[in-house]
Amino acid sequence: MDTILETKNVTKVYGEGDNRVVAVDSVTLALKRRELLLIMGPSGSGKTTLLSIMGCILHPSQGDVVLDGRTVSGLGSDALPDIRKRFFGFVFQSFNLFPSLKAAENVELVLRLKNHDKKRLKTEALELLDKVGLGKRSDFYPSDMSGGEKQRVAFARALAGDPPVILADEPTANLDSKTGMDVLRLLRALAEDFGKGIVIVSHDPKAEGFAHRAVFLEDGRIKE
Amino acid sequence: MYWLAWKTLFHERGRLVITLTGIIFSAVLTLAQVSMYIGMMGNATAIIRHTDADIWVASKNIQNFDFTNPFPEEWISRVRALPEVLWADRLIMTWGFLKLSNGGKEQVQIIGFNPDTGVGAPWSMVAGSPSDAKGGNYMIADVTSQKRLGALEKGTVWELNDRRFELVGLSEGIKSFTTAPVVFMSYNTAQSFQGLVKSGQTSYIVAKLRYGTNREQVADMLGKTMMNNDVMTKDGFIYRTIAYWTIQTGIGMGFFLTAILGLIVGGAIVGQTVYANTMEHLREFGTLKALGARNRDIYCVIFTQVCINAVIGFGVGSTLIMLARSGIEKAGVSLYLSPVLFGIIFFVVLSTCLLSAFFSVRKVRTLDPVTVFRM
Repeated sequence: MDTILETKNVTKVYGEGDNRVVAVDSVTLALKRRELLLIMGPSGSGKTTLLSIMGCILHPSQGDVVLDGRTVSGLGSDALPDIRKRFFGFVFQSFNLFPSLKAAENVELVLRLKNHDKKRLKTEALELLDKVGLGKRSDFYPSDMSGGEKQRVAFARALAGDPPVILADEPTANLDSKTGMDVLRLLRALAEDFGKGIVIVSHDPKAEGFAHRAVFLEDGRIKE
Repeated sequence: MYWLAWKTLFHERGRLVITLTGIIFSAVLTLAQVSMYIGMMGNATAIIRHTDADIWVASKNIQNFDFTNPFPEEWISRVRALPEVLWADRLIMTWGFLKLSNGGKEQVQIIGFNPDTGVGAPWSMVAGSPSDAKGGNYMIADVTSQKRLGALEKGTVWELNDRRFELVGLSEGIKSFTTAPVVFMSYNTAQSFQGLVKSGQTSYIVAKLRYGTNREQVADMLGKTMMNNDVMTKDGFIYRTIAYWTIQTGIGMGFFLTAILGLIVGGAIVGQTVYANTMEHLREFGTLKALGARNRDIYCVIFTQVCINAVIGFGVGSTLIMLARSGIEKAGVSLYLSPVLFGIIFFVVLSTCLLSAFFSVRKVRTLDPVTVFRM
């Protein structure tokens, strides 16, 4: 398995003086293709901040982020949206689907953002929904779907444009136990069957059983 | 992103209706006020605009077309003496009282014109001809005055300042600023009428210049030789009349302020709904940013929605005005509605709507995509 994403001694500091908070402290991590990496830790341990840095949403205060062999942490803010579009798919705790768009349209949105062939947008969106087992619900609005279905749409959206890395923030937090297990199973399948490097940030102890590797974060540091 | 703008806008119909109501209100109010103002100013300057003359000589310190003092008509020779002048003629503007069939009286504005040359004659005849007013107590009235004067029929006899006049022609669409009905008669009849203008006096001398002559220069030159008169170019007299009614009387300013108020209220409603819409969709915009959208992509969504709102709102507002037009005009109010005016007001309404999206754009610009993980 080759490395797709690395963080090298990444540190994120918020505030100054007495208000100085070290959210992430010298974290070095590597994510390989076909790997499901789980980041666990208590609330406030810096998991989400680390995920944001890995996803090129947040600049680290120190250290480097290397994406597919290229250091991207030094790039200006203008370059990051294109990096995110090309390399990442995101899954959020609250799904963050667009309520005014149907399931297929939510997927189509990302394809449009990535300038895919307009004639194939619908077909591609339906194919992606099929992959997550939701092909028959493509015409439903998020408000008419269950939590598990919404999360599946979010996965289909994350897969749109075939990004090599998927970052998922607490993907099972708003789901019941059984649906949570299904989602974790799906994530594992996405890593193994579709060759994605997947990072999950989660409190959910069940997630450990599905991950190839788990790291624990406490006070911004990786605990061995 | 146009696609997303369209989908989101029409998904939230309640909000769309509120926004459209604001824009329709704004468009109707602005169109009504501006078209009424232009219509009134059009009436105030109608005779000047439709008289084929380059130079107007009037009494000293004249404020507008309707308020003139008589002066000796023989001074026309000074105008004719200029080599730049092709022809010069006289025009009378005075007032009289027309006796109505019910015994009441209505004040009318009287225009005395030259029926031989047609200078100052009514320009939109529906019955008879301006030359029919020649050689006696004949008059031409305007059909838009029927509401005030009663039925106007060619050949009927009317009493004007205790003199009997035969109605020999009917014009259409000629109104005065004061809303008093306009009656045309020959210059000589108007002069002998013993109204404000007495024998040997005129209200205006008008002149046509030879091709290529500089109007301003001739007006300046004449002004120096006719010290007891105001000498103006046609455009200058139009401007002076409009400025009087607009600024000095405050009538035009009232229309202007109401139009501005309409724009402000409409803009505020649009701005408020667009901002509320942005705040409500902040998570979605944050998600878009996280997924790789740039600020300009999100601005595109906001501005596209604003433009769609403006187009629909203005379209409905314009349709309402057009539907109400005949009713308003029947009530005696002139509306000037032209494609150019619609174009200008649309541009103003659209600009107001786009401006009202300013705070939304500012909010999006400072939105950090990292917040999407905390929402």
